[in-house]
Amino acid sequence: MLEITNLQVSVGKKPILKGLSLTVKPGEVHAIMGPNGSGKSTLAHVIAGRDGYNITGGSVTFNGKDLLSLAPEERAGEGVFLAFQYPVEIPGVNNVYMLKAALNGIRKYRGEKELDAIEFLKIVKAKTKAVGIDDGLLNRPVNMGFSGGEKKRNEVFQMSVLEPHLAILDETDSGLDIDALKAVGDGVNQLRDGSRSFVVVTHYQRLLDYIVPDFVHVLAGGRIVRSGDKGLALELEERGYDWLKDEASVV
Amino acid sequence: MNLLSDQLAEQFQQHAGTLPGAGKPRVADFRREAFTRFEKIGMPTLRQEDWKYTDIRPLRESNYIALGDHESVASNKLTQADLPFPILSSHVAVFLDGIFNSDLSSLDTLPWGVTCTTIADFLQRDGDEVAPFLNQFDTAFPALNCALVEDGMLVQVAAGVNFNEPIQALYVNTVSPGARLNSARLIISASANSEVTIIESHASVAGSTNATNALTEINAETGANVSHYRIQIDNASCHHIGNVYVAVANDASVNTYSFAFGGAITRIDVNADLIGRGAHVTMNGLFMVNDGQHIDHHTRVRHRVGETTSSENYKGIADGNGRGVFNGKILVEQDAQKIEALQSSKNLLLSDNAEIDTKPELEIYADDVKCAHGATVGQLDEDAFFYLRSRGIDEQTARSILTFAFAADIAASVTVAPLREWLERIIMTRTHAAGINEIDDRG
Repeated sequence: MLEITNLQVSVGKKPILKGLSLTVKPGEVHAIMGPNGSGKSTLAHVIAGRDGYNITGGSVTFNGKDLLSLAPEERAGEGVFLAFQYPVEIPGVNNVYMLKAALNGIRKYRGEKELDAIEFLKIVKAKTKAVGIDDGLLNRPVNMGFSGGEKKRNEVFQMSVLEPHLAILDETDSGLDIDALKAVGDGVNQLRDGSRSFVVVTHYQRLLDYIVPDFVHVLAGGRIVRSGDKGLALELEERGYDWLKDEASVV
Repeated sequence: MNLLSDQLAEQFQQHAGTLPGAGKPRVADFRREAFTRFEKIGMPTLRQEDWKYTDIRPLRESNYIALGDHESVASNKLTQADLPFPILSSHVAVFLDGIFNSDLSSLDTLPWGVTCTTIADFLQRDGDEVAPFLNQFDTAFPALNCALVEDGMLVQVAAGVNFNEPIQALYVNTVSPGARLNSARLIISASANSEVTIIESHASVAGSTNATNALTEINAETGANVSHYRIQIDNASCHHIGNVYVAVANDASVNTYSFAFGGAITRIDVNADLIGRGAHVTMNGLFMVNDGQHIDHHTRVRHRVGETTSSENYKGIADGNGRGVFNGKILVEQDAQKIEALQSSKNLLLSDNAEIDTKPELEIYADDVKCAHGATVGQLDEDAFFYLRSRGIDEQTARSILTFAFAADIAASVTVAPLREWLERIIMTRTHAAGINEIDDRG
């Protein structure tokens, strides 16, 4: 599904990712862990198509398509979704309106019929219930005045409406208390259906108590320096990242 | 050199004897004095600080018919359906090239205490009744309007009368045989503790090349509440000059809005004097300029006495090679203590060739005051733009959504529902953000 091969990315002249390879198959959950500044968020943004990164080498394909040549909205159309570490507040844009424009944008990209307001609101109603988001938030401007937990829950809600094939969660646990963490974890788990894949980018192991990964990768110095199963995450929790940092500087 | 001034002098000489009120010495003297003032001040040029961003040569050096020749105006055959601006109220006065048109107007259902009189009729009345409204001005275009005005509307609201339905004045530039310079006039006189809402709208019929010189005076007496919405949306070849003067007495409150969608050159001055304790003015505005357009707002708030408040929120959006100007002046006079003045000017540039100049000007001669001002010129928020696109919204739609959102709060604060809906539609059309309100409309 997602095939990242020897990806090299710089910001300005500074290399951030120095040859990263990763394969994600349908239904798999991959956790990308690593110390601050290791390039985790860069990876998430490059997959989603954010400006400001120089791709200096390597490739990213998604279901065989060259993802790097597509605009962000086309990537969404292909089924890629990025849950932001810092969901953006957009004054004046109604949450539900944005979602309708998004869903119809994706449907249009796929050559499907756009939904009218009634059809769309039916979906929203069902998903609101499933994700357990306060429907008072739906008609507010996007993320405006939302608490940290509400913002992250809104990301999960958007994900549930847009039904991506691949969801990338960028530090979704940051700034969440334990209840919010559990709620977000539950929301994500509901979306695990055996074919949808997840890349969970996180600094701490605690989110992985709720979203149990199939694979854990450690990103350090712009490369994946170690891969393993969920046991690796627990080991990191115990030992920290320093022992791997040393390893990264050697290779 | 000043081609238009010469023509105007000639036309004024020729027609002064037949203008409304010409038989009344006070009115005739008033016009002559106003014209003398206009000639003395002269048409503005770029050399004047107040006009340094707005070059009105295309107006100053062109031929316009300002007086007479109304018989040949083809537009007298216009029906309501031909009007270039919607009728937003059941109380409406329509002016074609400055002249009241009774067929297109309806003012028969106004309640007791609310009267609308045409300026043409009013100027023929007894001198003592007219005298309080003969105010002279010391800038060129208002002085010119005073000299040349042929018609317009005077709205008077009696003490204690609260009228909740809006009254609309619609000024239309038509397609006339020669380009006209139309004098549009509106006077709102709200007596003590009265309440009134006025929509002042300026628009032009397709193909019109006329220009407008509009003058609005708002007088809110003790405890009165006036809401004034000014909208201007002209053809690409129509110039528009507008002046609004507001006087707010103690405990009175005036909201004056300016929505400008431009023509060719548009210049709008909004002036408010807070003259009694407890007086408040809200001055809000939104302008949108695109290719070939220029819109300049100059606002001035004068806190003349203490314990007065003003709040100002202007937004501008420039696309293509459009050019916008906002100059907001707050003057706090000596001993005008404990006043509060807020001013915000936020501007959005949508293209590399667009330009907006914004300048706050504060002159404060009192020491116990609260003044806050902020001015920004920026582009669309990159983070928000990427956020929307990452959700599957294409570039153009994302741009439109964010542009609409930038402008939406000003439109949303309009309390007259049909006007608010019209504004939102226009803003949408101009940002190409179709269907943005669909979700909100479900009730």
